[in-house]
Amino acid sequence: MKLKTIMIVDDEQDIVDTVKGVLEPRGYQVITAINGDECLKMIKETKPDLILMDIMMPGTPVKEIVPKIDKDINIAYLSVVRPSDAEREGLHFDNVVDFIQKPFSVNELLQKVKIFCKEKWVDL
Amino acid sequence: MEEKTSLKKKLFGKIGRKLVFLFIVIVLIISIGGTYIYYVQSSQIIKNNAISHLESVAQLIENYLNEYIEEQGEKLKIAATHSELTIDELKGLVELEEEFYELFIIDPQGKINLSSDESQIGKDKSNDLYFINIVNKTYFKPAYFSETTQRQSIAISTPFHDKILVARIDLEIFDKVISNKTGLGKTGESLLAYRNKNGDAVFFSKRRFSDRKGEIITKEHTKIPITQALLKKEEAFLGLKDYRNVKVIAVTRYIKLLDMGLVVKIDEQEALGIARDQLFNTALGIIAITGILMIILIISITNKISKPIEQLHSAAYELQNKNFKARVNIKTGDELEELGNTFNKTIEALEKMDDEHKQLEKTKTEFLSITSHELRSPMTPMKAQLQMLGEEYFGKLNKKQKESIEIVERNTTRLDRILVDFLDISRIEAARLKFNFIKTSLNPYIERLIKEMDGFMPEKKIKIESKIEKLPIMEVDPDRVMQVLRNLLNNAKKFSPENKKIEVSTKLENNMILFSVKDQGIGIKSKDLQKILDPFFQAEQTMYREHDGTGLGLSICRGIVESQKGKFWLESELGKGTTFNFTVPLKPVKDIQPIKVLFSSQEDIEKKINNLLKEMLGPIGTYEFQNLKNKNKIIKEELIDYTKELIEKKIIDKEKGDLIETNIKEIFGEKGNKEKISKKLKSKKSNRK
Repeated sequence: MKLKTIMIVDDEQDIVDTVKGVLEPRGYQVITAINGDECLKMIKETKPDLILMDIMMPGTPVKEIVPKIDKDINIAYLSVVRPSDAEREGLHFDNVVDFIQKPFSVNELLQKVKIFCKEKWVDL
Repeated sequence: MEEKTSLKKKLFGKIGRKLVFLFIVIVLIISIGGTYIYYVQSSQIIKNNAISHLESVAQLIENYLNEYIEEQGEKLKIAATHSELTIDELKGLVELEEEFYELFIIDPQGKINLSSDESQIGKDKSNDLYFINIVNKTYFKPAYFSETTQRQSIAISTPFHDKILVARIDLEIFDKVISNKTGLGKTGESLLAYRNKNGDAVFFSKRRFSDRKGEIITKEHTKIPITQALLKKEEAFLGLKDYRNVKVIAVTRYIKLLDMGLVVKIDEQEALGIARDQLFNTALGIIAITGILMIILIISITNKISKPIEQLHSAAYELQNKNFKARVNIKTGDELEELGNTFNKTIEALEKMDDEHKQLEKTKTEFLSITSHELRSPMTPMKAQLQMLGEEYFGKLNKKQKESIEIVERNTTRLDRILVDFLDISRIEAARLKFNFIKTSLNPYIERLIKEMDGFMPEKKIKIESKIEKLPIMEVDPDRVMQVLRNLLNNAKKFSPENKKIEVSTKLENNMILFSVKDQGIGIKSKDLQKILDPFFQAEQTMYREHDGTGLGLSICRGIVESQKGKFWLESELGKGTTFNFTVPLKPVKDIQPIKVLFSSQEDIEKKINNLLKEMLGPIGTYEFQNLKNKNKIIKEELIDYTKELIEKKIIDKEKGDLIETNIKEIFGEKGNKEKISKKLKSKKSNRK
């Protein structure tokens, strides 16, 4: 069976490393990007099954990055703050499957990743 | 006493009115004083004029009398130029000259030789004045009552060869002189009197005195003008009352030739009346003119002084309502203009300060928000790594290691909760708290929450009893309401001793849903009741600190409730328990206003109490407030006791006391009909105006 590929997009290296540390021992292939622009570049080479993306990062705003990502790639936001309704409007796309609140619980993250890699999660 | 002061305020409560009153008083004093002086001086002049007029009339009469009598003397002299006079000739002369009623001739022996009245012939006149006093010239015998003729007479004698020619003249002839009322008006008259043998004055005027002998005024009556006249005193009398008891002006003359007194008099009323009327009119005129001048003055005063002050007042009022755009425009060119300019500059400074203050507030909230975010970011990898460590991702741990990681993890969670609270507060203060309103009834949410809370701290065996009314479907954010209720239930559980119960009740009241959470805990001291809603405050530190609260929970609850224009308050009895209450309006507030959660509500309350006392008791209110504060009595119960004391001491009436009490309860968050009270206050205020 092919390993599921998870892409982590976050400008904070510690978070990237931590998530990687959680996922890799559980049998996921993890690729990382430090911002949206790098994420777009990398997608061209390796198509992930799920992208875990921070909302607030330097570079092109997430709002503009997400539409450029293939519609069949699931995206889950990872953020410290629950975005306000207005922000949520601009961030809502069909392939966005969830919102994971930072700081997250390791078990919760694992559970969600497991689900999202299988199918789309439409109910936001 | 209150009515008196309110009347005083009504009359003089405005500076314009005060000035007007002052000017009226000044103008009245000046005009009345001036008019009085003018009146007195003018009266004197009028009196002097009247007297000099009378004097000139008297002079005229005197002159006329003298001339008239001298003319009779001339006539007698001419008669004496005859070489011989017979009885018939004497009779003819008497008939011709109507003034003479008898002519007779006395021989050198003093006997009447010839007379126009034959019965007189032979009478001895050797002792008579006209016989004694005649020395080659005409002699006038002063007036007398002639016993022989029984007539009031004067006599003129003149030498007639070796004899004496004597003419008797009746005083009647003077009647036509003194009855001439030229220059005497209606009430004026002149009176002549002669002196009888006793020296008393005798009036002989036929008009007034029908008795032939005339009216006698004895010489003892020295105050009567005629007596003075006969004493040869020529005087003027003012304010004298005559025989009719009427005030008259009189002047006296002494007629030397006839040894007679002349009195010319006129009623004061007539002499002064017209002039007095004129004077009165003039005085009225002065007052009328000053009145008009005063009105002009008042208008200019109101414009010059009162208007700018009113302008300043309304600008200050605007300022009080935090309108820093208010300006005054005073162009009086004096101190008031300077004051206006300074006032404008002060507002500008205040405006700047207000802007800075707002900026600072914003910065504070932003700082809070940003730092909380920034602090939360490192929490993510920390927590995840700790969890991984704890769950032995990286290898087996011994018991000590596990315990240590648990402690770190627990405290990381706690730190994160504090940061969440900070974020919530920054949102409430910046009015960025989000409410997701949906149409629902709160009942299922409440039931779910109570069920959930039942499982919290099971070791304490605390029972939650609920009395939940059926609540209507309304537009509300159930998550926020449950956040508050959860917090209160949490709180109640934490502070309840074991085996006690907590009562939760909700009901619909006055378009609000009232939530109450009652515990059977230790309760809160009266003085801490208000402070408990302050951030970071924990009553009886130990008890509350034990529980891992941040000290911000209740502040956040209050902020959430007040954001929706609800009320949040608590009641407590030491040793019996505490009840937290809050209300949620049926209609949601979508335009959220910032709420100062980090401000001490105690300070806010002190400010409100101070204002209330000032409003109700006047300036002494501030003093009373300081006094109460120093005694640590800014507590609901103490203040209510204080109000009752004021009523007992009759410093304020019952109605006012009740109003203060309702207001105190209102300030301490006890639900009351706020609108009603403020209306009542307003109507009181307008009454005072």
